[in-house]
Amino acid sequence: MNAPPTHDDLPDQVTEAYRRLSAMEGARPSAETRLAILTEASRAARTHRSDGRSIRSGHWKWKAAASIAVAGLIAALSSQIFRSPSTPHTHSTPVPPTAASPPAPAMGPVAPVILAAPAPAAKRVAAASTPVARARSARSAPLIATTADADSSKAVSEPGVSSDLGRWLAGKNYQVLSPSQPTEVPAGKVEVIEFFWYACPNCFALEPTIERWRASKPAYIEFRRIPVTWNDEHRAHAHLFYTLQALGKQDALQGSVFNEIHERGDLLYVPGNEQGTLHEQLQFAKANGISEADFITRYNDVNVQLKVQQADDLARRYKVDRVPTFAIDGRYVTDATMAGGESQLIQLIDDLAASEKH
Amino acid sequence: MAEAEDSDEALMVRYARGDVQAFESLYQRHELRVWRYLYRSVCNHATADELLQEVWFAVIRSASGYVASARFTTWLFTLARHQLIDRHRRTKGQHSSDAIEEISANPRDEPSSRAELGQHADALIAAVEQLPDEQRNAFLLHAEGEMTLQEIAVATGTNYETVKSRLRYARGKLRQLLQEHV
Repeated sequence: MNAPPTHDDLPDQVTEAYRRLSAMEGARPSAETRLAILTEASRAARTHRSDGRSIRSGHWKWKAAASIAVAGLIAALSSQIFRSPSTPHTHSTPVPPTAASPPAPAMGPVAPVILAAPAPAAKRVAAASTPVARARSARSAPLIATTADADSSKAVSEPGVSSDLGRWLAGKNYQVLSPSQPTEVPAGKVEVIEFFWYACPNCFALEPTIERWRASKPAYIEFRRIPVTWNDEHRAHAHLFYTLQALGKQDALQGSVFNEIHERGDLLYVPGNEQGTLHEQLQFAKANGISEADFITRYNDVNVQLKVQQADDLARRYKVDRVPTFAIDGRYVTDATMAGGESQLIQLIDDLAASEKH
Repeated sequence: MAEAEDSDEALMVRYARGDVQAFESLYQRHELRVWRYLYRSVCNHATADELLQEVWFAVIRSASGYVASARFTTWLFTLARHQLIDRHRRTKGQHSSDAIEEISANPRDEPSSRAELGQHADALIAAVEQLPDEQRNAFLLHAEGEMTLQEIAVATGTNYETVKSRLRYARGKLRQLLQEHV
């Protein structure tokens, strides 16, 4: 590959000092930027798998998935769905190259990289990252819930991990929250929260598994969903979530909202246009049997707005920086990547919940 | 063997085959260093975020044709540098207004974190940001990208001696600025 380092390549005192201090500095990219990148990587991975060059047996192919409506078959293949999340999300359609971009650096015989404008999804998130949007939102979740973070060592050092969790590794498969968070369940119950976003492909892909788990989970587990509210789009979807909840329709329409966004390509959100967003969401509600008057009343209900705010506070307290993320009994946080896969995630949630049952 | 399987290049190849977790590992490994390189260059949190996104989107787009014939980080930072050049062409002269907007729009990012570093650290990082573009770029590719001088020469389309000279000037200025500060 490259020539070995020479004497000139050795870092001097100033460079070493810079590296040390730079690493200590707290500034880091925003949660929404990270989410946009990882979401796009997931979307593209599906293409990689299905483009004929690298298909591995047993892998899920989205195009097939989209046409399958048989619940049993979805159940059988669900473990593959999460690993190849994917939904042709209208945010992330392929982008043509732009002439204004500089020539891309090629890596060996790699085809030239075209530094194009971001995909629509990226533009949306990038827009939320602009100073103006930040001034409006200024509420990125802190990025400290990752396995790579230095805080992990502190988190895992907390005592009290049950021996039932022997097969799972604190710090790798899950994080121990410090401090732990209060839960909203009575004694004898264990709370499991899923932090999610309607437009997140991974959340959509995981949904069938979560629904099956809900149907068969132990009675002492109380499950609830909390939408994340990192930017305007998240908040618009969170507003819809709590409006439907106030109408008593959230549970029944959870799958319908996901399908509306991921299968029909209706985002239920218009960037920078609250009335447009309301109009889209209202059309969706009416198509699902909710009257305009009922929807508008609940949509404008101050309690719904309060719920959105509470969701924001909760995600901050749990330091959620990706979705879907699961919090168990206010003490543990995990996700499918940390767990090692979808089926492992469900098992891990059950094990963590069992360890907290009193 | 295990080390080779976890190398950047191996992870990229795995991602090209559809392994999302390989990408996540790769991203976790390099996110901050690439972001800091961008951040120090544009002095604006939001812009650094947008450029970071562009860089990684470029990585994602080119994954299917990826061949590990050079260090992944060399390629990654080269992508980052091209994003900076592209942005510079588009927004020439907006640097100061960006900075003002950044301070007013995102007050919690910089002051708090920098305050924790102490004044010498603050001075060093500020000094890096004050370096002339080419010197700062060479210094950051070396300090954040851990690129060798030869790799920087290739990435910046110049020669070894020029990179060596830029680095020497950059380090000298940083020392001088720090001494003045002390």
